[in-house]
Amino acid sequence: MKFEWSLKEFSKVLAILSILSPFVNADESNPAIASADSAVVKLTSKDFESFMKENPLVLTEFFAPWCGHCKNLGPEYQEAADKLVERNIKLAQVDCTEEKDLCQSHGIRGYPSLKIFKGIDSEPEDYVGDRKSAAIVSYMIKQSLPAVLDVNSNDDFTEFIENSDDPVVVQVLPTKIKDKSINETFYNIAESLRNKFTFISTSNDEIIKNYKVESSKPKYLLFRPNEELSHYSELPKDAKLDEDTLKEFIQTESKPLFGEITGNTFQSYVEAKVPLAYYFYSDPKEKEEISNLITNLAKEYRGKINFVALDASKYGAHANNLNMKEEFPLFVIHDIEKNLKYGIDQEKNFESKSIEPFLKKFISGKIEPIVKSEPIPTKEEASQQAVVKLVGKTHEDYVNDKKKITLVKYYAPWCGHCKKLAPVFEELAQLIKDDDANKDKYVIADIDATLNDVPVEISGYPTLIMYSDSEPVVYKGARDLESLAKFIGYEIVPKSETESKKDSPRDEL
Amino acid sequence: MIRVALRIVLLVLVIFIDICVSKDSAVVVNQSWQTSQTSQPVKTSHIPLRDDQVYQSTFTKAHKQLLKNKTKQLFNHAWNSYLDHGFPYDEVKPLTCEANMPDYNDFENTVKNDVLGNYSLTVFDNLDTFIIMNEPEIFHKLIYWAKEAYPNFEINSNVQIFETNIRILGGLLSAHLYASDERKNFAIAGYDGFLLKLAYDLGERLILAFNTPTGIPFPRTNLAKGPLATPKSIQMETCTAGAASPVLELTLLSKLTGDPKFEKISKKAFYTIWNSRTELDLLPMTIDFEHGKWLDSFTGIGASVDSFYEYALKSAILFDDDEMLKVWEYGYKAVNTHLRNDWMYNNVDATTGFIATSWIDSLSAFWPGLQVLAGDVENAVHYHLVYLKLWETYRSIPERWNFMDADELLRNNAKKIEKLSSLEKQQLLFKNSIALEWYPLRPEFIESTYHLYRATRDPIYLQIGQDILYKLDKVFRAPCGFAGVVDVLTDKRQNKMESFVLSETLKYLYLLFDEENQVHQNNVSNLIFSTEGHPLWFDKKLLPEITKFDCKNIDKLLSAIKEKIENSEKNGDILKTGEGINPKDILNENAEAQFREAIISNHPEDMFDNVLNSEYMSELLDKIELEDDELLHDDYINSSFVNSALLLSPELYHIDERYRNSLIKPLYLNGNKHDELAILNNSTRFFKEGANSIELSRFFYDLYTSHNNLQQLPQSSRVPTTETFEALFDPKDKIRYADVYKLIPADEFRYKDYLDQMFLDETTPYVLANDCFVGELNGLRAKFEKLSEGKIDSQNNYITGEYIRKVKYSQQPYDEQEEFELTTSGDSILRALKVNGKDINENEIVWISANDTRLQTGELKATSNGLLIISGDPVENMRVWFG
Repeated sequence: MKFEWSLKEFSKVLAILSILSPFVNADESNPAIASADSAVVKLTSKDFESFMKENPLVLTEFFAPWCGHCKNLGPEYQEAADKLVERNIKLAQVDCTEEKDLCQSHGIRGYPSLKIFKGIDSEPEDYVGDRKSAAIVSYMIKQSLPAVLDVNSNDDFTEFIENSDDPVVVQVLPTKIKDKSINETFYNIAESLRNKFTFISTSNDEIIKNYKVESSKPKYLLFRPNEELSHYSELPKDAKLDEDTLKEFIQTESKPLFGEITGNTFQSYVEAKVPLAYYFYSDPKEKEEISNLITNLAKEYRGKINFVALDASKYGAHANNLNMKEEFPLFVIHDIEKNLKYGIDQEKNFESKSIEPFLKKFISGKIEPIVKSEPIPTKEEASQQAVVKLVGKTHEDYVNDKKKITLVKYYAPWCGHCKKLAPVFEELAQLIKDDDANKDKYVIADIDATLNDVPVEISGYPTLIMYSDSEPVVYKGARDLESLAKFIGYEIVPKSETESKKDSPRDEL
Repeated sequence: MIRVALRIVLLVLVIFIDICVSKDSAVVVNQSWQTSQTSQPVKTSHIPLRDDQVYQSTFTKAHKQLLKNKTKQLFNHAWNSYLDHGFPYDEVKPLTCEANMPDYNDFENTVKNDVLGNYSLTVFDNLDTFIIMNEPEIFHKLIYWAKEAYPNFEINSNVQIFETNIRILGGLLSAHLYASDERKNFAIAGYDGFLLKLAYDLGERLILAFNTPTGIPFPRTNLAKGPLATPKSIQMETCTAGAASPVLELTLLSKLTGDPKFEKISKKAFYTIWNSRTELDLLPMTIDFEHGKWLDSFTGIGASVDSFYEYALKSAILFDDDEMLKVWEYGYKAVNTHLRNDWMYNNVDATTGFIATSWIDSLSAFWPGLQVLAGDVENAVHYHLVYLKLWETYRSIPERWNFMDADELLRNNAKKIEKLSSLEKQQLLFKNSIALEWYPLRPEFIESTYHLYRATRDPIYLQIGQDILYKLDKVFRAPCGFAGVVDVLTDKRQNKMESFVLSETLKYLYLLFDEENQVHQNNVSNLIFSTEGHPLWFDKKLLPEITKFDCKNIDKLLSAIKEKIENSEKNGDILKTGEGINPKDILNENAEAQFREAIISNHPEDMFDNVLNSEYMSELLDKIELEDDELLHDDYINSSFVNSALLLSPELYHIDERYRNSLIKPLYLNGNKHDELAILNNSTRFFKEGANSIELSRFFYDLYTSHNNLQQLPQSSRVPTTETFEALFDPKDKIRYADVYKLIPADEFRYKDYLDQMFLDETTPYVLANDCFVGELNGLRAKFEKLSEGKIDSQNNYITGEYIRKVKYSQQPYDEQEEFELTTSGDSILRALKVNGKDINENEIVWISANDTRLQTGELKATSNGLLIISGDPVENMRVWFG
């Protein structure tokens, strides 16, 4: 046997990392746990089943007392529970650190997990709304109502729309229509989208008359919250009546013409997939002033571009994601599908009248996307550096210049390996800069890949790529002067004796 | 488990005084040095942080500007207090507004005297701080004051080599670079290099301490008279970091002056330490400089070792030094192999690799910042979290936090504890968690936070910085500066403001908020921050421009010092160590050759010969490149809407649960009235426990979790309940060679074609791309997780009996014997989580060579299809390659 082996050595446990026995009790000061006097019901494996049998609609939070997200949800959850008591909607809590088996049997993998139970027999659904008391309350009230509300009087109809916080989707279905599949389609959609929209179906004659519905064809209307009743949208007559068409109609038309974008609404705009035009304002007055202009444009571009206002005093940092500077107001369009960004030039003062021509150019494809880029170095700056500083705006010009051999270092400012390489790279650039015979043949360049968009896949910093008249080559060799020079085919000419003496006074010491 | 009794390695002292700054002219404080007069937009009045509009934002430009200005105000308060009450002495006492001076009555009071050299410490440590804070005029005035006041460092003070090197020498070098290098835009016209001369003078005084039989320096020296003129009682032992760290500043001094002696002498010490490493490539904490023997046995990444690793990497960067880079790489690998645990780096016995203590120290909070520099951003993010939890729990980072003994305490005192009230129990655990109780406003946590923000741009780091800023202002502000905590148990304040509060804590905080700062603009250079926060850089362009002065004059000074030492030797009033060693010996010795051979050779590729030569593997490996684990990390930035990746990390709260008995808030923080964020949220209900978690503060939390995106639901995963353990497969000296390789498909390799060609399907348990590969089992340190029914594993899965059976019988047993062994083995299986420092990810298999003779020993077996069985338990993700 070559090496000694013993179980003893192996089994020496260096650290047993088992969980400490619980000691500090989950006390009442923990906001994750509802207080005893709240309407939240604490369930255990003993009473879980019977509770679900007795209550038709229960929202259950599976949680752990140590989980920070649960601590922030706790007070909101409690508030919602108190409000929902009168509607006989129950909110319950299961502490998964105590009820391991119960949580396991419901497939809980994370905390908090919120599930909606409608009786013991049907599969629970995930709660996917916001974790704020108001949102929980409205979400659960909707769950307690049918997916589609049948409305039989014009007064009810009007009242309902005016009071809704969500967009209202209306099916006006003349009684003559016997094709059941139409109604089924509408119910299916309502079932899947009920959390974000309110669905109404009606066959009331007054409504049919008011909205000029033909007796042979149903009509679909959409009312946005906080807009006048006359500002509704209508599914075009010739549109197909299938699920996809209707859904697309709902997604597009439910967006306000000039809505406010926040963390809550962002996702719905992304899902809409049409380009998103942002107006960033830092003062509500700015928004007010431009509101008419943009609302009119939004009508014109409905379905092609969504328009939103963004409160820059809060979300201003988002400008960076859109390749814009944090200077407000600003106007920028994000083509979400292609992930390209088009903005009104920030070098000039912003003027609202420039928006309309800008949109026209955008639609006709006449503007270039903004490349994330540092400013192009001035001539003076450039002349001081041996290494050519590339930026997002100039990168392509350099790497596509087939007449030269261009070596580019892609770096991140915080990366130590990049820093280590910096002086060597600099030296190489300086040698070539001082070499009259070769200085026009080579370009030694670098680019901060965290501040500039580059169409190159970078898996680590620094990445070195040589561009020439053939395919780009990634450098993987040693990072010293000689190896780098060899890689680009540059021959370092040894300096003559006199020169080297002149250059290094050190030798004389 | 070996628990080593703790010993703080705080070294040094002073005898008597001779103040060199006592000249009247030097003591007059020029009004124009007061920062508030010249600082730009900052007004002297308090800018209220509660500027709701600005404050409640996603860290917009205006928001960061506000925080930056606020930080500047705090700095002004500290600096002006020092000028008014401390200058020209070393420090100001923040509570009593007096100057802080060395303890001349008790020369063994090294705690005090190590840093207080009676050399205007706060000034020298902060020259470059004024550049960072964009106050070039004050910088200018200060350096010319220094020129007047300090012709040299002939001061009769006993100081610690390490502290004087990082605070004074580092400060001088950084200031010199700024004053002279025109590329940085702060160069001073007519500057003649006097700071470098002063640095040279100090360097010569420091290197006399390296005159020992081993070349490892005395821990302390007397600046005027050399190390031999100090009392023996303060010269007992040198710590690893203390001996090795001068290498960075001293090498830079050599490069800038052209005099190689500083580099040679300090490198000799550095490599002597490195060569004394244990066979696990680890470095114990203290060493006997006379004989080069280790005086203790354990190691960590905090006190006494920290800047060894830091300066290996930073020297590599600054001087493009590949040998230093190797030291860093081997050191980092060893530390990851033996110290890295789930949430922190343990202190371990340097010889056995076993965990040695149950605490981590506050100094180790710098480590994530260093990991960023090394390109290991992912681990940096992860290992920074524990310090965040400490900060949130204690409103400070206790010098030493005890994370493990709570369990034992509870077990051993079960009966007593039963009788205690809940509050008393909490107090007991709280006290138990604090191993060393002070917090002198150390910079390490904010330093790492700053580096992490630069690399990830995750707003959570700005949120942390904002909290630190707020606490500095509201909790730690004192009449004359900022006062840290003497005792976290009682919250008693300390009448001391270390120079690093200005030169690091406030500097890094300022830089966190000042994204446009000049140090962030000049990215192309190799600028690094020294361990004391001094920006340093070096390239060949500096050579001809800077060394304009004549070194020969300084040689005269050196001979004068030597003469002094000889005189004091004659007087017999010295410590007799290193007899027969003459300073000349070290100066002339060719240290270079010695340290070159110190580097261990490259890992022997022939370890893989038997595998690479096998038919199957060679065919596969022709197409798949064998690569070392790639440390560089992809761009971490995720930019859809304003977003905090860390806030949505499923493991964010695991530490809270796992160490809940060791993370106990002190009573004086209950219902914390200082939680401004809670006040802003205007909801008293959040004063409850957990409310003052930085990332849970309502406004921040809501902004960054409001996406209705199902992929990013704010949710914690379950905490694993499986047991884990680590194993060392002897012989230990092979660990350093046993790299873990990853199989990476070459560009043209199409895996699907390969499978077709080999008539394999995707379920075949053969080598797949992205698998890991190690040589033999010998020389592995592996961490295993024991999977048994009903446990939650590290991948947040519930382990069922069915799963265990599936792994055990993944292949038909070969014969009856094998079947018998499998059926009689236990009802658990193992999973390797980490092998020699590398994490094994989900679905990766670690392949080992079948040539290992251990496989026949009984404890270790391989089934015919390559399933590895350790002590009866099959390992699901390690397989033996029979080739």
